[in-house]
Amino acid sequence: MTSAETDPGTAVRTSVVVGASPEHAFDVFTAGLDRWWIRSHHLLPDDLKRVTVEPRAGGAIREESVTGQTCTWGRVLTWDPPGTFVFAWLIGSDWQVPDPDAAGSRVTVTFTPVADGTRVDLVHDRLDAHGAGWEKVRDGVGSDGGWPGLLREYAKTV
Amino acid sequence: MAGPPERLTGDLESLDLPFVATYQGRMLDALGDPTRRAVFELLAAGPRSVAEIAADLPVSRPAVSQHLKVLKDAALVSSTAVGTRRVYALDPRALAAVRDYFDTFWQQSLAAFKDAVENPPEEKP
Repeated sequence: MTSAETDPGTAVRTSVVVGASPEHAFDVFTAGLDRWWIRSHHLLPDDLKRVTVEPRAGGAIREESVTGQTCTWGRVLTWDPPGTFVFAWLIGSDWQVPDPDAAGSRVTVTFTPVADGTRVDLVHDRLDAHGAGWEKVRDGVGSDGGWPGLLREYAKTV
Repeated sequence: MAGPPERLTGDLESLDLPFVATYQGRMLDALGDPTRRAVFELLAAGPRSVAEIAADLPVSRPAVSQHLKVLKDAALVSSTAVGTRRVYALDPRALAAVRDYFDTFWQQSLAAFKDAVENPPEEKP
């Protein structure tokens, strides 16, 4: 487990309670990542075929396009089912294929049993690693893979 | 889902659109220059004085000062006096926009994740 503390100024936190055991929630978050990943979010130019997580510390998080290209955009830092999953996030807010040595931010996901299921707490910190991506954010906002696409996907789930 | 969808959608729009309209134009112009972007990226690693920035880049101190002025005008960089020196750092408003982006991203993703956890997977052919 990486021990550096979270600086709240460079972090976002999101929580959700799901009606399932921590074991099942952990499994869907990792092995089942492809089931819930928002399809408009991909790095390679062609449509997304799947996203995968190698289930071990040091494992790669990859996407594969429909044309068979692959790209690694994350790295498992902590693999401790069913309680904790931590990974390095190498994608800037530009959603471009990252350099292999790109400065990454960190996503920590914890799964805690509660009365009606499991609380999933997600902390995405060290976001200052993505500080220089402004112009690309703007480009993403106006393209089909950006905000309009996201909002459409969101509207389908509610 | 817990919560009325109209309200959630409203939140998403209000998170994103004012930022796009208000800040991005000037930020983009400011970061369009490669030297200014290098200054900005240097400050992303930590606060620095003009002299320290000039020592790390092939740029004179007056030129660094000029670039910093443009970055300040675009709300990307702020400065504080530390004794007799002036130290430059990333403006918190710049980081706030990155946070908004990922905050919205994860809210949407965890909503989709919850659906996946609570519903059986579709059979794959």
